[in-house]
Amino acid sequence: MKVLIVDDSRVMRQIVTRTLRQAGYTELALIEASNGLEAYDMVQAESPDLVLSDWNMPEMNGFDLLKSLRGRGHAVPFGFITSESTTEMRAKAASAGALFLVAKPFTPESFKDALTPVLG
Amino acid sequence: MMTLALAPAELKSMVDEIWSSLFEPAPTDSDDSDIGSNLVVGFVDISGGWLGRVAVETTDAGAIAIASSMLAAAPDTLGDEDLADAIGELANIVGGSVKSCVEGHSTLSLPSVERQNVLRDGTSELMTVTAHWLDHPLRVRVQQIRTVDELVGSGAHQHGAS
Repeated sequence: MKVLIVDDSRVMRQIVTRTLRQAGYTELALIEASNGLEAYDMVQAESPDLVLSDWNMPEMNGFDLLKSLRGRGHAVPFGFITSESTTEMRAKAASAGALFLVAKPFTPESFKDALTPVLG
Repeated sequence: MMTLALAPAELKSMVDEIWSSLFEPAPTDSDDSDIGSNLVVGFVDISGGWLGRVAVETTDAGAIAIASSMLAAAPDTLGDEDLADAIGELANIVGGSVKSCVEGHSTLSLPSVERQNVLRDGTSELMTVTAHWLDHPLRVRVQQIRTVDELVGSGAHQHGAS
């Protein structure tokens, strides 16, 4: 399975990658984008099975990425990994079609809880 | 006016939890608020009903150790961009947690990194947490930025033009 990791921080993309491995997802093909615009193009080109996206990014934020994808009929499973996790943002994410929102800092366990329904 | 519902002890718990989830070993407490002047400072601003800044500060050596740990890379392979990315992301994570304690709607800026954190006009220090990690000093600061209206109301600021 292919997972697209979207975050403007290379450090955080690295930590997400490491945490996925620690959570037991060692067979995934991981691809990366550094903002929503880049991610939008990669979804078209690479057809990932899941998008794990930061919320707050330059160029295009994660929420606008999700809205753009759904607006164009893309149903790719989508989850947020973000430093902000207010009730308001969780509701906004869910109403736009996100499957989950994992708050930073996260653990392999919180990844497992969020990803098992999607990746098994 | 909206407020920040955060006590200094809660900020300390927040920092401890974030640090423990990202780094080993855990940071040790420090009462020494003077961590030097030539610092790497990552910060995010919170805006909305409450205006403030959350900053993470450390020394160059501290920033290298943090980036090395976060990227799982040897210190001598890291560039300034890596240090800025690591310290900025830490500020982003702490800032996101602090933002969750702000009543009402607010937004978090993208992180910025500078060499110094100078208090601007109308900004006051709300709380500070100091610690050591691998012998490197670390300081987390939460600062409140007063609005122009508040400054005018308190007589601390005058408009230059009408």
